[in-house]
Amino acid sequence: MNGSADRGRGDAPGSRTHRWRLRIVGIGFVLLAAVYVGRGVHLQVVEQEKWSQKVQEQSARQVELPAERGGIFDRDGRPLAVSDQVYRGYLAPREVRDQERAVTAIRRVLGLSSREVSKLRRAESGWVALPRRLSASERDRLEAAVRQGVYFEHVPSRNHPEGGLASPVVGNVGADGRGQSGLELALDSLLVGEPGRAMSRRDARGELYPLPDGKIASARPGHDVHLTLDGELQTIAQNALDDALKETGASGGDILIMDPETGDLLAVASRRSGEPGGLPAFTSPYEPGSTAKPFLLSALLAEERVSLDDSVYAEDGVYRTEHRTIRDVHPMDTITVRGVIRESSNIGAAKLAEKLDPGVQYSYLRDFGFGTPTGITFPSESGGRLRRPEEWSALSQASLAMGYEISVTSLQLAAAYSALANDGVLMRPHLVEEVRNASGEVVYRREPTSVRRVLSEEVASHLRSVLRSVVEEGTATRASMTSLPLAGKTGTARLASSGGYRDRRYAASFVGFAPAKDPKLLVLTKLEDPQGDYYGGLTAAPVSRMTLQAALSSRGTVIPGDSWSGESLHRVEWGGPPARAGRGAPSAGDSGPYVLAVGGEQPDRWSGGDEGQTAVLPDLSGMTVRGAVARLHELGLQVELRSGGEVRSQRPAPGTRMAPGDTVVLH
Amino acid sequence: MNARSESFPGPLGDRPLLAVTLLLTAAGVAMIYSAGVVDFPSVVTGLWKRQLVWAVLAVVAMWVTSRVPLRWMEWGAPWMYGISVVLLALTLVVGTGPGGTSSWLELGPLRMQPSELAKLSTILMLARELSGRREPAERLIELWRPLGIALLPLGLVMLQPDLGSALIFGVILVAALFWAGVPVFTIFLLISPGISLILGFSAWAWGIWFIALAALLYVRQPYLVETIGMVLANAGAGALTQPIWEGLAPYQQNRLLVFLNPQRDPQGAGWHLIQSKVAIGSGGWTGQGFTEGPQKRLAFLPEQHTDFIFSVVGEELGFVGVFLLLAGFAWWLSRTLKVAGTAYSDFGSVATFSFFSLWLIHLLINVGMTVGLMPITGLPLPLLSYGGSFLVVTYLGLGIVQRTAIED
Repeated sequence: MNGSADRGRGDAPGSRTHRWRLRIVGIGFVLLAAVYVGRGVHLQVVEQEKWSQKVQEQSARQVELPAERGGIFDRDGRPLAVSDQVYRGYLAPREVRDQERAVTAIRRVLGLSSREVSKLRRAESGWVALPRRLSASERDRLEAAVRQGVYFEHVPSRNHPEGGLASPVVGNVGADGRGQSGLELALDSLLVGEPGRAMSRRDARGELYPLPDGKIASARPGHDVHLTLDGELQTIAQNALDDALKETGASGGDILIMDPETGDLLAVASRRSGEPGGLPAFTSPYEPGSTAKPFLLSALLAEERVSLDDSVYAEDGVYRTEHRTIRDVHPMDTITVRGVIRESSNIGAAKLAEKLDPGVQYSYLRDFGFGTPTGITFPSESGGRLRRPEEWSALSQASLAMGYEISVTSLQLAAAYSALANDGVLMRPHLVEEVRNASGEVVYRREPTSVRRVLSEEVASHLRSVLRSVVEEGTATRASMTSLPLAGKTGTARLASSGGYRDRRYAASFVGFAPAKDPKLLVLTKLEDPQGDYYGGLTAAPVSRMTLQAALSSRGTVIPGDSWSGESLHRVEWGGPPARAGRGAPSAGDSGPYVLAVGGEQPDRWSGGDEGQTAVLPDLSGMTVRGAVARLHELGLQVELRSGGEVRSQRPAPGTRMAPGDTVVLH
Repeated sequence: MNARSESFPGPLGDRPLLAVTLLLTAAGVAMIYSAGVVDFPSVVTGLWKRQLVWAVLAVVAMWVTSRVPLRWMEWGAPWMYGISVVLLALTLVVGTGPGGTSSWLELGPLRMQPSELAKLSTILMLARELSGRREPAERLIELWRPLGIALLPLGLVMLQPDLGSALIFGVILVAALFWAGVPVFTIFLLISPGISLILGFSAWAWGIWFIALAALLYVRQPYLVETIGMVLANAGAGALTQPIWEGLAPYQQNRLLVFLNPQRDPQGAGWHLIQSKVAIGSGGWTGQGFTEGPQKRLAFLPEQHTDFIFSVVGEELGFVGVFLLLAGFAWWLSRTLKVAGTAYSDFGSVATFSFFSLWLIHLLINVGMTVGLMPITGLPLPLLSYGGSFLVVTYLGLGIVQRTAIED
């Protein structure tokens, strides 16, 4: 940039000084260039560290990788609540090699309309959300088809594949993925797992973009919980409760099925009006009424205050004491101690209670578990109410004998009856059978836990025979089954409300177990405020029978052959322990067969002699599974269930002649 | 004809200048493409295609201009100047623009910034005025015509208000006077009221300046009228500082204050500056890679295709890219300066030098603001920033420079 004035143009502006002016400009130019380049060096070389850190600070974010919540399964591995792998997908048009190909692949995998696709096709930059969420398999297929420029984000979601089976037991998960009620809440720390960590980019507006290789730590999935509940029995119990509420007009009720030997709860159905989603069988105590009478008898027999054949004067139905008048439904003059339970005599019970010291009466009730929570794994279980003898009034002994002045939950009552069934040993009730980690190793297995021995084996056996007579010839004949001896006790308690008992409002109940000699199943039915025939013997008892019948038909319970009544038992079979399904949620179709281990014995239904008896198979389609199973049970046939709900098909076809013990497969 | 080996003035003008111009323009299109590669939906995506179309139009405009004899341009300068002034006046009536300003004229789909055209025509008008003299003006009083030519558009642009562009007119005036041979002392006197205006913020600074000025006047002994006039002008300017400051729009005040201390408003006006420095600084030696800059991609860098395109270069191409780009600009400007120095025509020489100054000041202010050396004024980077009319006006200027080279 030199040499302009050397041309000696006299008329050029400032020609005399042009040379130095140019030089000044040149020097200034070089100096400025030095300053700017120096500034560049300063920022980009000297301070590079500082500014790079600033970029990290404002645009890098560590994000949590959600852990998959463990599933809740029934005892046979049937999924009750599982976390679905649901993903939100994004297309990054800048990063895909061939946008047209990528969009076509997306369209194929997701089955999108051309209108939805056109938006993806037009997209030029940024992240475009795919119009619909993806399942894990859709995600995998799309990832394989489009290797670059498609991103996925996990969306927490809880699925109930069995249509909300046992939903009050299972409980709910909140939008934050944490348990809110039921076992989801009680076992949250086991189910929730441990989130992983990954680096993500954040833009100036707070939007996050996952980095493809940003993973720091993988998420550890939560444990799977296998319940003691049996999906089939649970279905049966829920359906039976629904039907019973409909038929009797009751406002609420509970049906519990329990294995008295282990304390495993096999089914819990429980509803009250005004308590949607709760589990009142565990949380709402009530006065049991006559179902508490066997505990009085237990104490009397154990303390050897009476024997079963002692007689009691029943006052012809009206017993006036100093404080009140007690009435019996069926007036009698003299009855045996056995008869007090069998006929459910209030007068008899009140009189027998006088033979006991209040402290002894209290301690037996206490030993049966009343007044204390059972300790089952469930949030806010109630312990009911049992006052100490010091707080009792002159009426309390008689009241307690009849099942008043005490409140119990259905769970406590079932557990207490289990002690009678289980040779006098009270078992801790269980809901959780096993907890397994994500790789399938068992990290917890419930062992049958005895709480205490309440009665001697002998007394327990006496009680069972008394309860057997209740079903055979007492108040609960409606519970009687022809095929299997059942023992149990009815109760019809007046419903209490604030300020006293309400007129003509009752809670009808029945607790029974079968077979009476060596009980394998215990059923508790409680109906609150049934309309019309409100007696427990007329409402709850038949419900229990039907439930038990269906339960026996559907379950591979090992009922020893000699437990069955009658000699005409053809054969007893079962399918062995049902195959435990693994973590990958089995569909209804491939769940293990549920084989009824019953050979029926009702000769009047069978034509011909002992050998070659046959029956015509009825058309079962459209019936509920419970109804169909009950019908088949009556015919003495074995049942294989392939799914719950409604019967859609059967094998063999209707009209086939069947021999007792043959198997019918229901879909 | 001066047959220097590195210069080929001929029908094509200065070939190295042409080459580096096209190179810089191509780099601009590439960087505008990169500016559109972001992780969020942005209007910037795809703008590079438009810029490419504008670039083609601009090259045509340059070629056509370089075919026009300088005599014609000299003749046409007053007309162009007149039209520019009318358009500038029009913006005050029907102008539109961001934040209550009115720098744009809109006519249907057409949108123009008359101040860009005014810069061009003012340069031509000043060149015509200053080259028409037999001797360069020595006295202040003789400069009233060029002063008026520059101050008229300057005042109109100031009213829009567009402080950055207004300052450019001042720079053009000083550059033209300097190149036309006006004594440095005279130019110094001319701009002294401006210095008073700035120093007027501090009574002390202004007082010292005023005493120094008085001493200088006493030593140099200019005409009495000039002396009195300068004393009054400096006194008046110093007194006007506060009222003018208060007359500025809050965003303009803020920009100047933020330049002095970016942390003053890190989420608001300081944001641009901080994020630009973060972008350039994190580029390091070789940058994050073309289109890969996270500052740009994640929306931290504002105006990444216009005012802050240099920051994208810094972030993605690192110091290597910054150095090459600055070297390219230095080459470009030095070729322009060479044309000014070797021009046969006085008119062409003054005009070319004025263009040199115009582009240099744009470069200094734009790059300076991205690295924190200059306040944020919204002046685009010549040849690189997105913007069709600015590109075309720059190329028109280059056409004139090339014509000057051709007529050498």
